[in-house]
Amino acid sequence: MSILECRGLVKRFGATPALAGVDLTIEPGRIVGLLGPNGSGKTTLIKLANGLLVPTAGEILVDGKAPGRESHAIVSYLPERNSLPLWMTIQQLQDFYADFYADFQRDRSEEMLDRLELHPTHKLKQLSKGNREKVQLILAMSRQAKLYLLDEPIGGVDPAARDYILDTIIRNYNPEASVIISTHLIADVEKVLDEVVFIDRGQIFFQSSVDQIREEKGKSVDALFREVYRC
Amino acid sequence: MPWEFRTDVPIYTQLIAQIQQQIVTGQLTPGDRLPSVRDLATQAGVNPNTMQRALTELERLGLVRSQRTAGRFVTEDETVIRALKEDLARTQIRDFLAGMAQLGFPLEEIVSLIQKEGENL
Amino acid sequence: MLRKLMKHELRATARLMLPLYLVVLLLSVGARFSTAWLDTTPTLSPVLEKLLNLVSILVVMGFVVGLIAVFAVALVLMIQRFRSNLLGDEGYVMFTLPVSPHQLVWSKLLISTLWFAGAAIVDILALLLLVVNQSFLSDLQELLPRLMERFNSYYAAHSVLVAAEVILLCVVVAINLCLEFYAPLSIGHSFDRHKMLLSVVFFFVIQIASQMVGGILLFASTPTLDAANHFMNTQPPEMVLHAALWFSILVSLVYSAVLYVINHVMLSKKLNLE
Repeated sequence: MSILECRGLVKRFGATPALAGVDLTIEPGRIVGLLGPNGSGKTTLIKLANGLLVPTAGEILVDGKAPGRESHAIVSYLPERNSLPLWMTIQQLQDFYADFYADFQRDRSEEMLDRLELHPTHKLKQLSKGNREKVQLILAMSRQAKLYLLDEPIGGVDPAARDYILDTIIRNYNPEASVIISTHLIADVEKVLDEVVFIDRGQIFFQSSVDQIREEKGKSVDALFREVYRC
Repeated sequence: MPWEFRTDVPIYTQLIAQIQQQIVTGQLTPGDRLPSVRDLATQAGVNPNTMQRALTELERLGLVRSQRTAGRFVTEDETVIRALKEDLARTQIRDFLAGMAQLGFPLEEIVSLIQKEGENL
Repeated sequence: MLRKLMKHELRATARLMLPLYLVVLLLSVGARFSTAWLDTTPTLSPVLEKLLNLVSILVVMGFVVGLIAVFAVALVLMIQRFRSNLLGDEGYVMFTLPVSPHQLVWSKLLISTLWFAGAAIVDILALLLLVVNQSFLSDLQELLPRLMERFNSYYAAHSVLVAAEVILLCVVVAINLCLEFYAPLSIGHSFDRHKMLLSVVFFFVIQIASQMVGGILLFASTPTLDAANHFMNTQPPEMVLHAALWFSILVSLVYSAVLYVINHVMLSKKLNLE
């Protein structure tokens, strides 16, 4: 069974459609790039998969079920911006994750936080913006989820942080899980992707494996993307 | 060792080529144990599935053999490595000859040029 | 899961409420000394005297403000926690936990009620700290049984039972108060724009609507009103008291249930986190 499936998915904000009839299937065991320019509907799609928005029409299924309590237990979500309470310490945040997610591996998160020399008693408020993002990523990747939904994990970070983030994703990836990474910075993530989904103006117009694009078109996904979105 | 990738060729074929290169140049010696797929993928900064695919292909080619629990090892069969070396040499020669043909040199002239160049080494 | 949610909600709110409670209790002790000081005849230099008088007056004023502030802060915190923790950016985390919207709302309702109850207890304690002394205690020792006795004999009721009913009413009213804010916030935040403005608008819409419904029900039930009047005149005072308390509890519960359903539908069917 596919881990994520959209059928005729429509989401409108007022009169403007953010998603205009999306049909999409993501199989387990893939790292998928959800690629598109800003405002193309990437974040809307990820929020719908998390149940933070409700579809206007059509349906979205996570592991065969509508987003809800059950899907939340198997989905690890990294929002586009920090949404963890700033007053909490790193220790308290780990307590929080351990309390609610049965698949949270505390030893793994502790090890990663240790390596960054982030002390458990530090409050999120005291950390730099970059370190806050890393803490949020570490918590999300320390779960043994079936589906990871990472919304713009490398948007607006320096190259060293970008390498750290991609490294963390690869290192914690397990072959049965699927990872969906939304981004508009394709060249940076291309190497870690199995598959790409191009989205523009709320519609998906291309889905293919990365190696297939290179094999058939003799160019990188980034080059193809630039060509497709030139107009 | 640094991993570098061109943008116009599938990544898994580049991975195969780079590991082959490491074997024939002796960076990886026969019987060496390869790191795990996850570690190799992390080193190269590529998708673990892609690395897996490349290793499977290397296994099919007989350059790598996997032992159920112990992991993957570089083959100790010197004839396979020798054959690979020759194969890579042939590719180099073909590329070279194609370039020389474009410059308008016939084969005999190329051979004598090579001999002359070799004496100067 | 509700227990875990409550634990974290408690953690998030206690860091504000507990110090506030402590400040009020300290202020009450301070106010006690201040009033005592103001009662004494001056023995110090006039300047020092004036200064200490001023400090004493400020402490007493601070105490009075503190008594009100515990409730005001509990109220603002109740609204703020719902708005920012569920409907703001933190909602991304809260609404992707493997819990139901029911559990999210109940954890907030129960912890808010707890802080209201705490505010009431702290205010009572603070007032006691202000006035308690030897004579007060001995007076109370004498007075309280007599008071209870009078009460019990007049209403022929069990004072403990009535007290339990009053406490239950307070709890229901506190939950009702929370929901009167939660429901309009949930409605307002289901829109794409002007979320806060619309929340305020819907707060007043709900207030006016409930007044109107109440008025209509009162008008429509004139015949029953006569019956109620008859009931009050014929039944013993005890029964009237119980009936009045239970009637209030029931009305609050029905109103709360309506608000709860509105709130739940908005959070589960119309959630719109941007």
